[in-house]
Amino acid sequence: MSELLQYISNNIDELISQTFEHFKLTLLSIVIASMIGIVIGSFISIQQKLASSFLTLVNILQTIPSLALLGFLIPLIGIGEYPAIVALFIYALLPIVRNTFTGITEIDKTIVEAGLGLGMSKWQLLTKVQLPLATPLIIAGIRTASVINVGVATLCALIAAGGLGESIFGGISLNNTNMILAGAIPASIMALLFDGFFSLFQQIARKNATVSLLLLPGMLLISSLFFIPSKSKSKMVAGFNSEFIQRSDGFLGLDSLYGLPVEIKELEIGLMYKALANGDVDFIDGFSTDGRVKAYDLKLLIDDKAYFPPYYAAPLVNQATLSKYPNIRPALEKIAGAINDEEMSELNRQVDQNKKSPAEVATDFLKSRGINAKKTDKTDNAQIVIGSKSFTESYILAHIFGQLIAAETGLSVDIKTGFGGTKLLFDALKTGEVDIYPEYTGTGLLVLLNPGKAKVRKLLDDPKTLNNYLQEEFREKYQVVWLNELGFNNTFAIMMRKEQASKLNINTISDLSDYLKN
Amino acid sequence: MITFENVSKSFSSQTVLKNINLTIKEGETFCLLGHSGSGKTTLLKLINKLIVSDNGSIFFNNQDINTIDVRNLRKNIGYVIQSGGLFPHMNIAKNIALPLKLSGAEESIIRPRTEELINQIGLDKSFLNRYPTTLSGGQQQRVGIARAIANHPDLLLLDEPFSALDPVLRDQMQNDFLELQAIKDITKVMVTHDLKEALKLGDRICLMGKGEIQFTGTPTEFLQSDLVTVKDYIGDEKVSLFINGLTLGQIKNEIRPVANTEDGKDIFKATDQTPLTKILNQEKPFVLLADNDHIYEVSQIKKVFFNQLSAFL
Repeated sequence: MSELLQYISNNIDELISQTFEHFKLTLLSIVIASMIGIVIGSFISIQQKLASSFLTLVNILQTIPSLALLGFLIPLIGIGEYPAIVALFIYALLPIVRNTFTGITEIDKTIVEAGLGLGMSKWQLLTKVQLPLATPLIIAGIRTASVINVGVATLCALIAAGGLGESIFGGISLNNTNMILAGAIPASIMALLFDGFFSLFQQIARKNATVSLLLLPGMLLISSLFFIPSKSKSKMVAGFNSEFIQRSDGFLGLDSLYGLPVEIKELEIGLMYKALANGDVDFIDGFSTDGRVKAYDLKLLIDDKAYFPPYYAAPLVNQATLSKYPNIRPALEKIAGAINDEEMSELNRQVDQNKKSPAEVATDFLKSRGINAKKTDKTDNAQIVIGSKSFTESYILAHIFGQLIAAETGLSVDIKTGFGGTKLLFDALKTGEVDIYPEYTGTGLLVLLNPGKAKVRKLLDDPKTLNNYLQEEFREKYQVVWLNELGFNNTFAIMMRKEQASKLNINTISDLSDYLKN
Repeated sequence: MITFENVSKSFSSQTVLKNINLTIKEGETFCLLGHSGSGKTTLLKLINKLIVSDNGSIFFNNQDINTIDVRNLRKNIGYVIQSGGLFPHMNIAKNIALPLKLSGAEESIIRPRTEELINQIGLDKSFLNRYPTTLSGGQQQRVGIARAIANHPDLLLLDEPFSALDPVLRDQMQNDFLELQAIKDITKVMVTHDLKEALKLGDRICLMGKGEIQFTGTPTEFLQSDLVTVKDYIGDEKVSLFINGLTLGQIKNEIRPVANTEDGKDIFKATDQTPLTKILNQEKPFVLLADNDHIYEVSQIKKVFFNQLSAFL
């Protein structure tokens, strides 16, 4: 608890600005969705033939997973606040449209007939009778939408829109519970406040619909205060994932070594490459073996001051699992040292560009190594559970491990993909919910062990001692075993669009630093 | 005032009204009587075009209603529905004033007219600021009538106006309705399934059944009709015509005038023992002596009659 308070007081400025951004995203999207949603809801209540198709459409929009929706929007409107607001608007639409429609159509028919009988036009009936009577239900819809949006807005941190998601996802990748809480608690409070505020208005609306109609212009006024455009001062914009921004061996270290005065946008790992290719950012912290490096024609800048530590991939196995099924070790050793950088990059490209499934690519790879892969089962009580993080390479490696073990040992294997960060996956490994997952030496050292700067420097200077150190520390601290490395080094790399890099004549990170400083 | 010529109406494949021919006279109260599904409400709504006919023509003040702008037509026709149809989000003043506002009347006219109307329906001015849900059913219905006549319409349509009220209140409202001067001269078309209500309030009764007009005539003619359909309808409510154990036939034979007026009209005495249906069936003008000390002229007889009748029941 006191650590949490300490964290909050140390980062209070940052947290306040995140909270403000979060509020802004939620409010703006709700205001826009309310205005458009009420119009659509009213329209389909008059044109009832269109109602079911409209409602189906907004229903389908609602079911698109949030990250997928953000991904769709990048090629259309780029990254940052605008796509975030559009995505949030889409999620807010359904409850508002549906409640408006229901509110209007469920008004007592005699009241509608009384209005028409008095000689009201349809427009007069709508504005003077139907909408005022539907107001409590409409506000209930806005209320639902606002609570949903406070939640979804956390994801918007992944496309550089800011908000409390920065703390939450940063905390997940950095294994920092206080940081997660410092983001999650304000988000929960904000959801409760929105809920309470609209619940109050609902009560007012039941008594006096006209007063509650002032709600929308009022909200509009408040949100218009947010439309103060911010201008980028730096020459370039960098897109980094939250882990890289927060970690001391990420951007902070890089900046102090090279000097990179640049505006930073936070982006989700999977969306980063698209944003770079699209021109929304000018350089990113990619992975050197990522398939999209080739696909999007990106240039890896040379790390001329040798800043980035090695990231050799290896299977990380729960000790208890290994004792129970000792056959796993010789099975996995069949691919020890079997994949080089080039090959891994090609495997990634098969998935990212050629749109093959990771399982297919894994099968083909094993065949090329003379191993007849065995398909893994999707069962609840598999003997071995293999995990992966949420990026292509991790998916492919998890499938390679799985098919290899299934083929060599005959054990039943289940693959659980897409864990949202190192912390979540490693915790699952320690508790035995996951038995094996592909991890990188650099991450193991810096994120999971984090033995302090001096020790790290010493270990990095002599890669042979690093292996022994990792083996021993993990076995003692966590009862987890590192098996032999697969061969390739998927280190962090700063990358730019090839075309821009050659235009500015930038080949190394030092070149980039020079360009930014002048 | 209103003429139907060969009017028909179907909903999807079901015929609701078949070839209706009908004339409603200026100033009369015309009751559309019938069971549910008889087409009476559809017929009423054809007049203010809440429902549009398939065939035939309807004339309002000798003008085909299809040639009149629908909103102007409706502004000239007051419309009262079951339980008032008041707008719950508007106070009583706003409800009453709505037709005036829709016609573009100025505030200087609206305010006094609203107060006049609330007066006419026998409610206090303090009601103007209250909301419909705080009023009793009967009060709501009165406000509904006030709203319907706010614009001085030529015609008042009433769709089962009192059927949602409890029997005692309904009776009270029917009496008030007869006494309400503000609507006395307006032509009224009322839908009801209540035989007593039709007999009590109607100048003429139009019995509807299976989408057709079965009978049109005065209440007296209605009670005396030999038509099977009419007898069947009365049969349904036989209890209301049994008075002290006497059937209609017995009443006819047993009732005798107690005296004659100077100009030769029969005088009947209204007591608990007097089956007044008989009086209504008299063919020549007569005088009714009620409660031993009030003499009612013939034009008021219906009121006395049905007050007494409901007292018996």
